[in-house]
Amino acid sequence: MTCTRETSVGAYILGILEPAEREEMARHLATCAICRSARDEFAALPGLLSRVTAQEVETATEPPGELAFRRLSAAADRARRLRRNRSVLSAAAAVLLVLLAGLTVAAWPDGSKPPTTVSASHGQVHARVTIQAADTGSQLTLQLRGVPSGQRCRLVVVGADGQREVAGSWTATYAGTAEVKGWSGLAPSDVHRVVVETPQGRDLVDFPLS
Amino acid sequence: MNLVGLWAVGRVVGSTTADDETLRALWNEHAGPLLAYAMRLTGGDRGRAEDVVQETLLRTWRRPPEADPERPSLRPWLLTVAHRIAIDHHRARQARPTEVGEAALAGVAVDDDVDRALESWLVLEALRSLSQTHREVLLETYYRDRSVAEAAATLGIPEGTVKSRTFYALRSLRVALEERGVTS
Repeated sequence: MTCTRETSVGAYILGILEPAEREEMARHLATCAICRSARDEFAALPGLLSRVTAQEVETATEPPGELAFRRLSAAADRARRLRRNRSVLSAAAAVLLVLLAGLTVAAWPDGSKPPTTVSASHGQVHARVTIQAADTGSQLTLQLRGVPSGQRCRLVVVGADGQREVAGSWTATYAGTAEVKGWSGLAPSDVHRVVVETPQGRDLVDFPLS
Repeated sequence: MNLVGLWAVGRVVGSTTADDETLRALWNEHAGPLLAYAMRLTGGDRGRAEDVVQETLLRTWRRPPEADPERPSLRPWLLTVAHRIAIDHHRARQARPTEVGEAALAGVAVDDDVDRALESWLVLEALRSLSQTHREVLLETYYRDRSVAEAAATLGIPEGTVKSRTFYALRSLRVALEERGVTS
């Protein structure tokens, strides 16, 4: 069973018919079960359509271009390389550590202290700090990742007697990574601990050195 | 390099193609509606919204959520992740003194009701699944509030065609919404 007027029910529901035709349709609906059934079928649609705007429909239909996908794909590649490097590194780590220990001794035959590198993790935060003798104390190089983006951080050096010295401060980037250089008046051998903390004094990561 | 290292490289390289396909599929299915949602979160800033989309999809690709038989759809997850990322970005801007004024203007619009956001998302998906002509007629009539006569003039088709096209567009829309579990 069909009705020749059924295809006007959509326009009726959306309220786009001219006033005269609209009234005629309203009268017709009272007597036509086919058109009433179409009206009931569509009744909820205007409410659902109102959940989004025309602009959103256009945005969703024409998604970010191929260029944006390539940007994502490149970011994924970087992540993949990092992952691969890490798995290779961890697999070869034991061998390398033994080799490095030997090299380190061989590379500083004159007796001056080699830089010390320590890695540490705390939850999501992973970090590595290198401490090296400088003219008036130590130079520290910190590599950090996993810090919430926008987080203010500071690098604190703690001496053997518990004295604290802020060696640098910065804000984590969007990616939550940072490479920071800092200086301390303490000689490397006097550095007892290195801490990365928030301005409120919450430890993000802690490197005990002795 | 030792054998374990070689095995690790082989395994990662072997999975590259599948990974690319996963990423492309994520993109094709979700980038559009996700961008529309992200623009709500960034107060209409498309550049920032694209950053949110990129990071959301990247994070999902790197660490997909565990399969949950209760909620087989990825959409609630994407919504939640995008929301969190938008807030992170917003806070990051606030942490930078130079942008404090701007951040105060374009705050993160917090959509407390995830179900409501999800419903908007599904409506967008359903509209996206319609044919171009069906979507076009609904844009003209419902969204741009044009009468049958006005829509006919804009689209360059007879008035009768506007009516019948609207009818079939609504019918397809209802089916598309039902397929996505939207019935009310």
